[in-house]
Amino acid sequence: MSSAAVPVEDVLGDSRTRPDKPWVTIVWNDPVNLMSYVTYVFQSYFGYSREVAERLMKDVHIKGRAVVSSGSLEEMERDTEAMHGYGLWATFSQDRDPGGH
Amino acid sequence: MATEFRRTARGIEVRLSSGETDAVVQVLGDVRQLLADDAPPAPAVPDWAAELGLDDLGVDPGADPTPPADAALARLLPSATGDEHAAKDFRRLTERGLRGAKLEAISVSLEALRGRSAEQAAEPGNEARPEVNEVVLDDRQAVAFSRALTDVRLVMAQRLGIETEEDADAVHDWLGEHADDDLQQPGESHEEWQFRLRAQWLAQLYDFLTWLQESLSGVLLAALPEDGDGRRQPPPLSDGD
Repeated sequence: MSSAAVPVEDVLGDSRTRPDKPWVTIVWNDPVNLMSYVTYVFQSYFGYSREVAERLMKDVHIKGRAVVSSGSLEEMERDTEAMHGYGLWATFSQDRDPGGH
Repeated sequence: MATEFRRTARGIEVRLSSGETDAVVQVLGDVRQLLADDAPPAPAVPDWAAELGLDDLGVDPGADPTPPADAALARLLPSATGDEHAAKDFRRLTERGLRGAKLEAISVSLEALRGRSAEQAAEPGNEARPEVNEVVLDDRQAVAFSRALTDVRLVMAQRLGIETEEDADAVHDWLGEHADDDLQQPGESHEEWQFRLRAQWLAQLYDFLTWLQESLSGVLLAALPEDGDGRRQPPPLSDGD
């Protein structure tokens, strides 16, 4: 048997073998929710800065949806439930770019 | 008649006419009915659980995991994910709590709206119902009212057929064209006229509630610090997705 050291890259493997691909919470645009209200929700619930909250709100408005948080499945389920409590339409998934509903 | 929401020494204030108060109270009551009527009954606790003092297992094996049939209610309690199985599980675990929270926001709002005018009516010499309702909210009530307003507007929008931003603009424009047309128009049947009056009332109220919510959101936003508190890591800037 060879006693040569194994290269580090072979031990870590590539990204496809890394467990726990992060989950995301996505907020979808709707014609009812006001930009000021959405910004308020993002800032107060997540504790984001005004700048970040406004950027995310604009993404929802202009692109139709935006990833607003990422983390474990449990965290994303909690965030999604909270968004529904505020009247926003949110979903959780492992895919950052799921098909629209 | 109504003033915008503004923050004063007393709290977050808004002034509504008695007519405006009545209309808001009515639609809040309608949405409360919608949320409460369709609610699945509380599950029976099995004997073995009751003996152990486990009154609320937090899981509703008998609860209906399918989305509500009413489209407006389905928007208040939407599916949480594309995978149907996972969505049903999520609904089974969270729907009752979500309904409860929304009902609570409506209750707090109704109490806040009625409170002041009831006080004013109780003052001697003031037996006739005051024309002006001065509503003063504390921070907790203000947040509850903004959530209740959102839910009411979501339901009203669904009833008005608003599915896109274009629909919302179209309803607003239509209202502008018919603002003074309360009378039956030539060629309009009685049913068409009555339907149009109801639709106008609904659309006008929707516009009014939108205006109210805009000013309330502004007041709530103004109280938040510019900087984040660092609790949560914001998502990275999107790379053109």
